[in-house]
Amino acid sequence: MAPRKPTYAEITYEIDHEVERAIAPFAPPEAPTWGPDAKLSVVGKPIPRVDGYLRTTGRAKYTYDLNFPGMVYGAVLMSPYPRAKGVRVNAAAAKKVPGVLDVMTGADAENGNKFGTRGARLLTDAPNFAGEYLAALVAETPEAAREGMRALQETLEADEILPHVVDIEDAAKPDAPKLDESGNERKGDPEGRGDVEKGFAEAEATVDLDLRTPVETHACLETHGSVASWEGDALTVYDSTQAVFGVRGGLAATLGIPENKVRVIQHFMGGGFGSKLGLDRYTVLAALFAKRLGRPAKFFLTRRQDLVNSGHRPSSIQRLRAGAKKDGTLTALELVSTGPAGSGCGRPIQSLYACPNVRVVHTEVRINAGPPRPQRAPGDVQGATGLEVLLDRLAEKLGVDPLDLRLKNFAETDPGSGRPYSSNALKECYAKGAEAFGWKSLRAKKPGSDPGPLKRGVGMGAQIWPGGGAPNWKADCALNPDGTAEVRIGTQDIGTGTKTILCQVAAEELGLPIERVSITIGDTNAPFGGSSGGSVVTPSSTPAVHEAAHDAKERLLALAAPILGKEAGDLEASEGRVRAKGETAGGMTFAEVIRKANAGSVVGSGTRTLHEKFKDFSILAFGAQFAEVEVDVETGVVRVLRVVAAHDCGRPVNPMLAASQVEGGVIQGICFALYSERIMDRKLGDFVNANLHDYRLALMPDVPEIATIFCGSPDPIVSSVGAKGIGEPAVIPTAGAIVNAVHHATGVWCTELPLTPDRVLRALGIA
Amino acid sequence: MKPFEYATPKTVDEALSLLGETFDDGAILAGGTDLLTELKDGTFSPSRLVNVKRVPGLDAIEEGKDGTLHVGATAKIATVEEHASVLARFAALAQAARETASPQIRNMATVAGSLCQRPRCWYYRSDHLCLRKGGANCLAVEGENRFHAILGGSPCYIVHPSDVATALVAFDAQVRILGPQGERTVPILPESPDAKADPAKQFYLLPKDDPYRENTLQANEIVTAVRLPKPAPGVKSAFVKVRERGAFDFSLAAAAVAARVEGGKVSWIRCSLGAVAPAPWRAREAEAAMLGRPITLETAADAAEAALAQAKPMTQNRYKVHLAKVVLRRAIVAVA
Repeated sequence: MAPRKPTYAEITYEIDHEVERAIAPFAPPEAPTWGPDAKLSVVGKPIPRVDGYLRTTGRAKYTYDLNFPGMVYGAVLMSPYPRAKGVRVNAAAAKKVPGVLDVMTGADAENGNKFGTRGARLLTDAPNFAGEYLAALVAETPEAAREGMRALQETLEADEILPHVVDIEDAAKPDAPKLDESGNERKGDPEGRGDVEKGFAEAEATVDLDLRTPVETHACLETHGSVASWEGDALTVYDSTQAVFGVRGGLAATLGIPENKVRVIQHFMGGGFGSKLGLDRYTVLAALFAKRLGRPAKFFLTRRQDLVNSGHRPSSIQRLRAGAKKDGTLTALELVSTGPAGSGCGRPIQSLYACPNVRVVHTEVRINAGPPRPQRAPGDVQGATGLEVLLDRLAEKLGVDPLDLRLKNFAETDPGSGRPYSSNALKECYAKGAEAFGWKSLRAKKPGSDPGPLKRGVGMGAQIWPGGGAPNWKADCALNPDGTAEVRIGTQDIGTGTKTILCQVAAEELGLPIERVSITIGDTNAPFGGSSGGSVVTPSSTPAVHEAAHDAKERLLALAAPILGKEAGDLEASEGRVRAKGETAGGMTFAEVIRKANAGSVVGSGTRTLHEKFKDFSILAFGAQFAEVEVDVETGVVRVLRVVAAHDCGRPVNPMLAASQVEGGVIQGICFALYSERIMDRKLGDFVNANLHDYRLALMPDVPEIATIFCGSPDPIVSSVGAKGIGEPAVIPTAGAIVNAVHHATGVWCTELPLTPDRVLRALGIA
Repeated sequence: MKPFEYATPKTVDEALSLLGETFDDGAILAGGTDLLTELKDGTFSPSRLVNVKRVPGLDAIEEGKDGTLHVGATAKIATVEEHASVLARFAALAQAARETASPQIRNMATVAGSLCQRPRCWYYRSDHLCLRKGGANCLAVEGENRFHAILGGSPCYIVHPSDVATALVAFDAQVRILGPQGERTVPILPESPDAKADPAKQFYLLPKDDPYRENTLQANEIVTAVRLPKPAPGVKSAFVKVRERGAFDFSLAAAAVAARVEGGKVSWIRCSLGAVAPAPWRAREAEAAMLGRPITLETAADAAEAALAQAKPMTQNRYKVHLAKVVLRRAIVAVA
């Protein structure tokens, strides 16, 4: 309990490619570091989700399920025009619809029509894509709100419908409408290292690859929405969000009210995948209407609106080139890519393999198709797909096994920063994954050599992703008079199992059965926790909770010492009791200590500090996946039969939930490889398949057998718990492995994703 | 969703009395798997729903003395899929039912509902005014048409989504319809492809005959049953479908074939294609090509070529011509 004196220093870290800066506390962990040999009874065990019963029985109340007495229901009118000026609606038409209470346009929004702090407007009259917010209304029922929205839609007028462009290649044409004075294209500065020309000159073999990836949308099962209610000048918002603190800050700034008057809560989450990482317009509308009417207000986007305007993974057009010596040693890698806003995808090619010469040039193109948002491993899913298919083409050209080529170019240190890895079990992932999959024998077959129309093939892919998390997350841990423990932390569980693993960490440290530990999470009334994005939650939250539980335990032992007539240092907590070290019986229960001490409760606190050598290492999560597919070469239909996913995430705090993360990642990778794409009508400028039938996701019959293998050991640098991130890593290698497997099955490269029958048949030269 | 009246008649006659002169006056609700999505999307806003799920006997599947199979209008797709007579004598229909949608939807969806469902075309289902909804043009022609028609399209290029209907064509099925003037029984498709469209002689229509409706059912009529004549001895049938996803998905192309082989040669055959045209499509050229010939990979491939010779792909759906040939060839080979 001696107060530590951390040293503070600036660090940069990354959340979904956004470089964050912080002054981080550096200090050795107060809680004991759980190394590879630590004897743990709760952490590392496949414990079922603490909220699993509520979730599977339908009793968990998601934001979408919340209905309060007197609530009003909102609807948003989104622009049907991809580009227009002076758009107007007639509010009176909506107000005539029975049940409609109030209509808002940009002109009469109380907060000056502000959204956020960067000059954006809440409601626009000059939309730049079909789907921008034009107006909003509330009604007594959701049905009346929708009817009101339709009535409003019928009154739409625009001063000017402007020419639009929604396709990247169309936007680059000379006759394309100029969406920006400087033109539609913005070429970025080259990134990379070494001398690529020299590298290609030294190469004994080079391969080229053109690869395209589609716009993928998050397609969250729970559409985007919020519920807001005021009590005096205090606002409470229930939000389907990945960032309660982020929403609180954004909302306070947008509404011009203090942060201590805003509470944001997210108890259960129906999917976010990066599309719910901050304040959104519907939340502001809910707060404004709730204030106007003095009633709670609920705003949820319709399914179509959710697909159209809640961000997406931008598309990419990638031209890739690799050069290598005959023995497979890479001499140069190059990626020239084009895509809409936010579509850079050059990280994997710059950091996965040891290659002295790498160049990435990316051009962004403006179109009228809405802004992107981070989507599970933004950039890296696209970039790793291109890179891993490029590696397989090189392997084909050199006549070597794709796995051997990867091993040949294994990076012993981080090729980008030059720093050593804090831990890196990628070689173990390759070896154990290949062994479990049966890679060598399956891969020996010549591509496309199966007789008959049904052809099987196998392929692989690899990934890296930042795994070290963020500093400064805080937690506390209270011990109650009955001896139960409550953890509080202001991050959130977005369905990944965060509640469960944090209860495990606290239970382990306190020596309590997990049933005696509960958690408050997804609530800004708890100590600060960051957003659930960038795979940072596990590495950032587990050390904070570990330290909070340790602190609570130390305080409890200090209270028990005079009662038991011992030094606190001679006591330990186990099985819910405080005992002299080494004893297996006797002592006192937590409850007895707290009661006898008349302590009310015991509260410990924790902060995620950083290891003093944190900045000296690259802390990354690694993985390799192996996929087997079956392709019907007459119909072009691809089915994934089997995936083996081997990942190094340090210590999996709960291997069952970590495997569940991997399975979800693989399934989303299958969606990206085979099914999902936004289809835009160029003439109408509209997203024509914005529903969950025409926008295809893999469903259970499309999900193969997925075997997850965890490799490596607790990372010694990341934290006392040793856990790195896993959420995003799992989705990165899947699509590349599938494209490579389709080549192995058919002998042709199908490199325009998703691999729908039309594209596969085209690649086969059939249709 | 606009407010509507909801009526639950107990007899077919009562149901008829609740329908009106236009489709907007009254819509028949059976499984609701298509109608409810239309109501929610706002593509159709009738003032009354006539729920026929409680009409006794309307869901019966019965074999007549002459061997005809009567499939009641509200028989569930899931029931058809498992029905002993269907399995024994109309295998392609059972297969088509099994490949329709998902188990949950098949437990609700009905046979008549499958036949009468509206197009899945994303322009028809959107807020955009397409030809079928009274607009000037089919938006698919210059738009996104990868799933649209390759046969019989002009001027509207929807494809009919029903797998069940595709199978029924192969069995020369007839549709029984009751209206104010009494009952009419019409072939699912006209006897002759060149005949002028006649509500008395066919169920399905092509856009050239009526770009707004997919069939001849009038607003004040109700489908009561589908009638499948007794197949000749030795007739075998098969249904083959290609779809993007393994889970529920509408067909990219589907084929149903029923045939009788005598002395090693085809003596009678019906071939139909689904998801290629605005109505289920009888592939008469394929039938002609197979008659009198043995079923082999080669003859089947020739027949499939013949069936698609007149196909006119749009800008993005040339692959569907190939898919239609593959499914038809596979269905023919499957009945050998």
